[in-house]
Amino acid sequence: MVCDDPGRKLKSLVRRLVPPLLVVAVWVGVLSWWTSGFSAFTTYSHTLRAAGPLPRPAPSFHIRDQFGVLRDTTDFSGRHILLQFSYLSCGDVCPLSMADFHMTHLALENLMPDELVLLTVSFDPARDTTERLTNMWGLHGRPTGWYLAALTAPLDDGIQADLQSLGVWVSRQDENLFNHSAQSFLLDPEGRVIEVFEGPGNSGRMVAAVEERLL
Amino acid sequence: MIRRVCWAIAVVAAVSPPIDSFLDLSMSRHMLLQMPLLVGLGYAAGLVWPIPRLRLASLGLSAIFFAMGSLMFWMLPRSLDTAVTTAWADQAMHINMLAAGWSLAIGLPRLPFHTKMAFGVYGLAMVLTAGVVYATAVVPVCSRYSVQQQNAAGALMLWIGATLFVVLLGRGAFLLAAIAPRARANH
Repeated sequence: MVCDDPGRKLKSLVRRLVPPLLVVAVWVGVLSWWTSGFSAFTTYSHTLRAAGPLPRPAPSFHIRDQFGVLRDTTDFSGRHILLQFSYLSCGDVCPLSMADFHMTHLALENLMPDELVLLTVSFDPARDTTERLTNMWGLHGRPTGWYLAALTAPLDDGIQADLQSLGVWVSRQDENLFNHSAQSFLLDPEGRVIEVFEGPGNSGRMVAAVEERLL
Repeated sequence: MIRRVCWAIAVVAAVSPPIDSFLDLSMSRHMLLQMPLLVGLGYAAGLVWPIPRLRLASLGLSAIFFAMGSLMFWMLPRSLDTAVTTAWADQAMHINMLAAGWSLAIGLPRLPFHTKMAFGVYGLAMVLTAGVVYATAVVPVCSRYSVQQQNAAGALMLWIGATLFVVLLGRGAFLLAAIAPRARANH
């Protein structure tokens, strides 16, 4: 009988299996390429991945701090820096990220400001004035070594490119809303990014990473 | 002829700039209205135009895998973002969703009931998982939509998932009730 022929059975099985397996293989390939090997499913994680492997040099940003002093982020070179980006009117992730820095400051107060600096930079220089930055700093107990600053210019293509080279994605949605990455970055005294903490809820990891290097 | 003209008008309307922009504005509309609408229109194309009788082995399974892969790809947060921000990606999504619907029209009638149920359960799991992620995330997963929109879309997905679950359970129970007496009689 024909159906007892193992060769024909195998041929029939292959004919049945190959087309669907080929479709699955193509989709696995497409998804793997699109998500950088199933590791970057969001625009945020893709931007971070595209910034390159660690350690990598961090770009510098022109900022105005809570004391009204115009600075460059490279002014803090020679010390470790924990850097995050946010804006004070943010209603969701920024307060959580700032709470991380609050907890980190409490744990590492003895290292600041000589060996470690916390730097929160706002995307929103128009609304995050020196007065608002000072008020927020006051709400956190005026911590020494924690600089709350704002970019000196509104977001433009140049700043966006610098942010992306750091691994930060940001886009202004409307007058009051920025969608942005919620990572914090640990920079070494040479200004290189040596560790990235993705999302809020990472104060414990930040403290451990700094202690590992400084204590 | 009239059905075909109606179909063409519906597709042009669904992807026309004012309606497309309106649907892209909110995450729920984009993911839970526009995408199913285009898949539905693709499926309708399979009903309006007779599908050629292709003598390819496992055509049904291949077509279903193509549709599942397409839906999975465009439900990824990065793909959703790209479809909103980039014109060519938006058009690719429209064409892909129509093609996915059309391949469902090819694939579904060729599959036995238990295979359809397996894909239904897989689709249900996909909707519920994405729903839980979007409904509970405190950080934006899609960069083009706010956390509130994300949470609302997630909650809607959970409702849709619950409805799908009831439908699948009902169909399964109905089939069991229909075949059980016959199976007993044969036994």
